[in-house]
Amino acid sequence: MRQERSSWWKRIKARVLIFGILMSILPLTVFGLASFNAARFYLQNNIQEQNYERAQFLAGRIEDFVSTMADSLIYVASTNAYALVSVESSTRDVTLGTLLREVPYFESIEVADSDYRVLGQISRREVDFPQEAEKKLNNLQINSKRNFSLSGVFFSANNRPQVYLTVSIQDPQTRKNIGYLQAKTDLKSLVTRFTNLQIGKAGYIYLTDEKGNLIGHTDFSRVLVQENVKNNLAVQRFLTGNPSNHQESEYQNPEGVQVIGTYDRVETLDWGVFIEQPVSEAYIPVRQFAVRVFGIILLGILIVTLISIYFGLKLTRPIEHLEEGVSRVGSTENLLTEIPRESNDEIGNLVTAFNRMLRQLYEKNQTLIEDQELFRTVVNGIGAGMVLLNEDKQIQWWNSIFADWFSTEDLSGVSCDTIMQGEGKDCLFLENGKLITLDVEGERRYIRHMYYGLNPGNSEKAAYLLLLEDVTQQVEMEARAIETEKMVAVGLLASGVAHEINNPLAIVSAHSEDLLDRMQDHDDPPGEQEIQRILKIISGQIERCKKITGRLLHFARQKQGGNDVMDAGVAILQTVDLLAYRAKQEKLTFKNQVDPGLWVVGNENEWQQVLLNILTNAMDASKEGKTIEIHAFKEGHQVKVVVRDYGEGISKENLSRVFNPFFTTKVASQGTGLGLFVSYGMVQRMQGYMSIESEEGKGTTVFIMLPHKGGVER
Amino acid sequence: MTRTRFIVLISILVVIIAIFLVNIPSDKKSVQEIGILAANDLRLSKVEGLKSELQKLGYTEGVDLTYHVEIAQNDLDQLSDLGNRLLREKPDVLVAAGAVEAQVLKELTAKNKVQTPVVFMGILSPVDIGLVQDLSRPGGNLTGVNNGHYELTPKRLELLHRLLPKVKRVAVLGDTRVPILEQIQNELNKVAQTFDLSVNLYTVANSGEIQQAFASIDQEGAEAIILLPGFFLETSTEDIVNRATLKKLPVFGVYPLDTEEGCLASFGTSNWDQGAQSAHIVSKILRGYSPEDIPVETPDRVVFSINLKKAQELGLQPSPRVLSLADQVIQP
Repeated sequence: MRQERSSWWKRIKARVLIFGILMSILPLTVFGLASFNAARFYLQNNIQEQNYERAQFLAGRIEDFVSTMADSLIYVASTNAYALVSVESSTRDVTLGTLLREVPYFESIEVADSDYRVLGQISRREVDFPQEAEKKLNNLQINSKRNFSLSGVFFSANNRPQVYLTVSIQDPQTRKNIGYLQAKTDLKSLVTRFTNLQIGKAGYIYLTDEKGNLIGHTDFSRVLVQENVKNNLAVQRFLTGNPSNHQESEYQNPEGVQVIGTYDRVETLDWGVFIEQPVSEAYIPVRQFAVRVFGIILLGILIVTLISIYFGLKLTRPIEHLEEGVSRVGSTENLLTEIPRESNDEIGNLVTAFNRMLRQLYEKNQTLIEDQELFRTVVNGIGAGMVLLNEDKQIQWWNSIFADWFSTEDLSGVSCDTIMQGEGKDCLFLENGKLITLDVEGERRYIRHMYYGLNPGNSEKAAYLLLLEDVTQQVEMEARAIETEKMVAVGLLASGVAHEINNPLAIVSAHSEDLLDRMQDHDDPPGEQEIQRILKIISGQIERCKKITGRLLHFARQKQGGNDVMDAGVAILQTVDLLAYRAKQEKLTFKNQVDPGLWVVGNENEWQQVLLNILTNAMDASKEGKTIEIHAFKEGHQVKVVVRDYGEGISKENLSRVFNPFFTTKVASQGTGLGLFVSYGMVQRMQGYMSIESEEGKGTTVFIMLPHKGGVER
Repeated sequence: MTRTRFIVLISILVVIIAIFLVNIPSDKKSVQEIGILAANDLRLSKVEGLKSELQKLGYTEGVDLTYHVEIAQNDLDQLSDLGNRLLREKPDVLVAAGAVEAQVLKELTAKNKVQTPVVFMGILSPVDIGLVQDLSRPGGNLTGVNNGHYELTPKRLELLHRLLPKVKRVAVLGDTRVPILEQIQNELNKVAQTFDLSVNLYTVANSGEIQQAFASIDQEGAEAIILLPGFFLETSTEDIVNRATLKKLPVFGVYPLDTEEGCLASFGTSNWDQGAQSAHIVSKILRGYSPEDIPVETPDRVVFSINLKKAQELGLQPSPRVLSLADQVIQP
């Protein structure tokens, strides 16, 4: 038995594993993605918030820085007001020097009177050349909003961003403006300090004045080339006075890099502090988180998958063992195999049930084997050859008798037609019940050929059962019965023939004696003519005797049972002739109406015997003076022969038994009881049919139907 | 597969993945290396300033940074070998403590065809000595701090004049190897004219020339000496101060350290400050900025230092107006 294994994906193990893996991947992936999205949102907000806080912090620092500078100036201006604007320069110089020393961001300080005339100046790095006459103080934008003024940012000769910070000097008593104190303030340290604040690796900070001009940048070279940042989205928003918006914080900077940006306003100065960070970098924590989440999901999936595989294998292993066990049983056909039970679950129960089923199957199988043995004994002892054939009439099974008859060789798969060759030995099955002859061990056997359709159309199973019944004894007995019947008929005919011959013999005797006497009478010897006349009479009578005996001999002649084409009507007339004497004796009249050309196939001798039986019966039943009608004619494709007598008829009770062997109503000397039985068999062999209708006291009609030679193909 | 094997396999896998998860680089920060070349120990102060400021900027030595410092001990011929030694380490940034070191490193990087950034920690006029093309856009692999000592020289003369208004004849000691000496002289002359001073420039390149210069100073009756910046003078300050003291001549130095060494005053940025300021440039480069885009910076802080003890020793009365300006005063 070939073991067929299913495709791997159809196997339970594969399905259980796939299910386990899917069940581990799907929920974890969904859960992981959901967590990741939530965390990403939180992280992004957090990053933006963090950058915004930095911007706020820096704006505050810048504001504080400028305020501190201004406060220093205001303090000096208010505490040294008179000294600063006095004509005497030494005190002023000391005051300015001290201020310059104390505030390292001041590059130079100038003092002017209320008319802006410069009274004195001191510089940190530049040479203070003697005062030009009437030099006026510039860069003043003092207004009521602030108590100091701040000029626009400019760059010194050595590229340092600077502003002029100016405060007014008020008379401590009158509070009138008596002059101005202006400090050129260096922003480099401030700018460096905040632009060095690290915003990731690629993030940067920049600073614009109230007009959007770049005054500070992490990459200070941009400031030096006075890069135009007014096209930057964040700067545009800043210039419109809008606060920074977290929701619209992602945009492209002028270099085309996608950044997240935020800004804050330095309130008192109207400067903007901007922080921008490339999205690719800013969201690195998000990506790292994604990697972690992915890793955790992967770990989870791996663990759950391994557990699924473990339990999947554990679950399916007993099933596989069961399958292996079943396959083993199938391949070895050993029904006593016991599959070990490995678990106490349903599969364990299944194994137990299977083992139980195997034992039951074994017991049933044993019973079947015994039954088969019995069947074989019966089949082999039945006395008939049996063969099972498939659709193509190939032998599938045969019994020992069949093997004895045909061959002892293996007949499996051999075509039935090759075995049963020769006339009447085909397997065409057209003539069910046909007799065939076989020579078995030199002895001629008669076999009845029967077949039965079993599973027509099914090529797998046996399609036909061919039954060959040894009917040698029956055939021989039948032949003997026919012969006996024939001999009886011949005997009966012989007595008639004897009577019939008597008359011509008496005539021959009388004429021969008369001729002898006349020849001995010399007186009147017969003349030659007379002798010739008498001899002609004698010869005629002898010829008549010859005809009579000839007819009998023709009937009684043993003839082999071959079939010929013959005219049924001729035999009828011959038989009527054979019985003519007896009819004459019994004063019965044959009324023949026989059509010509009633060609049938059969054994003429047997056909004549059939007619002899029927006509004899009719004559036996008829009383003197009655008529026996014989009508033979063609009806369709049939030749119909009707023999009707007007005799005593047959009772209903007997009518059903007339064809039974040894049934007769005649006295023992008149009948054997085989006549109609034999006749019936003979008509059947001629593919014909015979029936009898009878009414007691009125007569009997025998119908014989035979296929016309042109009507039925053999 | 037995159950034990299965459990062992799972455990191994879990551990591997856990290690993988733990080791996911949260912030891919490898240790970066800085190679520093210094001509002498005097300049190590710059290195200290650099390290200190980088520490303030968040770079921890040993964690974020490692420093490889090579010192030539005044032997300038060694600089090339030491520079090569630094280059072999393939540092992320090279730092030159002064102009001579920067020139050596520039030559070495060009020769080896490497673009290792070089940051100089305070040198004189980098454009003039050919280290960078432009102060705003250096253009090559060098950038750093211009100590502004050239630009501050006229201011020194002014400060000397304001400090000692009576001094009219000033001797200026310079090193001929400093390429912009002529320009400095022109600037000095402008200031001298304004304040009615006479200035004589003496160039020195070795001890013998110092001796000769002092002979001339003595002969010409100079009342004060101003030191110009330069490697040789920087290393000879003590000698000059000693010679000047013998002749009761005040010396106006460059570095705050010069005042401590006996100069009457000095005006310039300290080595430490130059190093600290350079740290910001180094930090930018470590963060990925290219040196060609980082402008050369001028010193954030200039220190005016006065040694009143020396003044007393020399019998001088510095003007109180100018004293108020002094960031550092060494009291007698």
